[in-house]
Amino acid sequence: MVKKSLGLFILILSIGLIMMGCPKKTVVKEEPSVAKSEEARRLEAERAEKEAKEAKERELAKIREEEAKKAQEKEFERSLVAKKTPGIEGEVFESSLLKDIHFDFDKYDIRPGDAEILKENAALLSKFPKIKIQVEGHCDERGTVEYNLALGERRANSAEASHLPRHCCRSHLHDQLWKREAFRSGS
Amino acid sequence: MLKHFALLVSFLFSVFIPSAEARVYLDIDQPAFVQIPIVVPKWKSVDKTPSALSEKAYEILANDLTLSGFFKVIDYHRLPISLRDKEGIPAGALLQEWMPAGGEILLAGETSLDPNGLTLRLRFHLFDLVEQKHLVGKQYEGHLQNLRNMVHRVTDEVALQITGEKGVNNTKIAYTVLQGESKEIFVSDFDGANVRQITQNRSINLSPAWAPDGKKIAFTSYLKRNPDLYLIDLDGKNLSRFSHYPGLNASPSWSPDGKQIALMMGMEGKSDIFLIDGNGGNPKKLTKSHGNEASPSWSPDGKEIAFVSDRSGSPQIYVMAADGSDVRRVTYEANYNTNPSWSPKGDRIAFCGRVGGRFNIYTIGIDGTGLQRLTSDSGNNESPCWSPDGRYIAFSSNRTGRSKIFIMNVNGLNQRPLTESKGDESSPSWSRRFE
Repeated sequence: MVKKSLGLFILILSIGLIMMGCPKKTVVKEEPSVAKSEEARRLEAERAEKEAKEAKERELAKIREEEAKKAQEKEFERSLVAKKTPGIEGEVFESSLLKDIHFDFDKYDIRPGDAEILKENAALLSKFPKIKIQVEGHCDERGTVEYNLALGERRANSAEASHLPRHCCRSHLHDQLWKREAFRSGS
Repeated sequence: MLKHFALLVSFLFSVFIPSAEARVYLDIDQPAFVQIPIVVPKWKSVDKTPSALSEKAYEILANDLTLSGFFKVIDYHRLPISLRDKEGIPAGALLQEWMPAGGEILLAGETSLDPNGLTLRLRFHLFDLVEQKHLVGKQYEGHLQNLRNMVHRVTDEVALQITGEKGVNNTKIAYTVLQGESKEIFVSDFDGANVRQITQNRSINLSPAWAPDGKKIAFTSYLKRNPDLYLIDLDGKNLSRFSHYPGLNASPSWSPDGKQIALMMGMEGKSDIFLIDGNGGNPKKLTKSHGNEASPSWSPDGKEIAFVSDRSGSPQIYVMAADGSDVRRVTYEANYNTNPSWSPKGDRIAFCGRVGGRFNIYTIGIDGTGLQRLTSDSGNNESPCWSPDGRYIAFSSNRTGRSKIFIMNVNGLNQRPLTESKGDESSPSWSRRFE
């Protein structure tokens, strides 16, 4: 449609120019400006309409996005289960949407398949920049307590070192080992 | 809780002729020793002393002697009728009549409670039945509430006479007890009596370690969501947070002079052995490898520290100088050796090693020679720690199902549970002698 009007415009312009070649001046001269402003107005109107339409679409998309985000937040919130530890300060929640990774016995390096899990967890958590994340490194009771603490420390750090906070391997029994908090909140 | 009671000790020199030369009764450093049969006649209740009191003293006494592992106690209940009712201390000339009892040593005594009902006197004499001679006599006087302590003094003395070294009957053992999802710290007497809960915070409390002066216990707790180091008095009061660097502040081990603590700290991204001073400050990193370091244990002379490191690829026992220099590896067998505990005698290190999926207690010379296994075919046995005289080892074992604290002689004999509790106990720490 633009091209058509442009073509038309050019035609009008050229007609105007041809007419300008004749000794008659005034009447011929005014014609292109009038046509121009009409065309310009038409173009502008078209453009404005288009912009309005696009703006509306953007707004709709924005609303949809926000709704999706809210839905996701709600889903995340719903997935949160309070972790009750009476003798430890503060409130902690766990989410079933965040997956644990496991370590081989006596090891603390991230296994190949687990890197993907960590990325997924990070992607989810990055949508909630205001929450504080705690990384836990656990060990099971097959080992001895103090050496397990050292391993747990390294495992939590191992996960953190990939710059992605997440929960680590599962503990079989009650010997839960907490790691220090990884702060991700801006505030 | 523990009061230094006014104790009156008097040597009783009597008509018995003391021996000029000491007979070697029991060489407890031998890998296996035969227990000495000791006759313990019924104790006499002097004047108006209630017989129940004497019975109680006798019960504690006989139990101490049995628990020591050095003696085979011939209790008066098992004596022939002619001897069963004889109470108190026999005159020298009458020692002969005790021969049929089958003992080599005789321990006789009496209890005496003042008319005020508060002051207790324990008097005992020790005799060599083989050589028919008197060995020692003593009297202890103190407050009635200190009955147990006073009886323990008697049995400590008997051990001194027979083995050349005082017993450890007046010591206490701290340990952790799993309660639901929490671990709390408890303390028990050496004979399993007076079990007391020290922490009551429902958190996870780990690795109790007695201060050398016996007044405080250091331990790690997750009270504030980080494994911090705390101090607490024996009565459970005066809880103070001692070290709370981010990450681990765990597995404390006091220097023998009580001025420093070696511990595991994670503030540099992994667990290393650090030293901190008496105020919990001035952290100094000792270990410098890429491995995970754990479980420091100070040598009795304060010059070296044993610890666990997996720098070779698996957790093994190492020793370093107290400034972190001169690191040398001690264990080479098997691929999981942890929880070192340095003997107060200085010559051996106890640890637990995993072979075939099972943990057992071992001791090894500090130069890495003379490996000795002390437990076998009895579940998982972990966390060894020595008595202050270096003649006993306390450890945790799940041989009866749930984990319990056990005690054994250093040669592995006489393994017995510390308390009668149902279990879920671990991580023992042995106090100094309380006099």
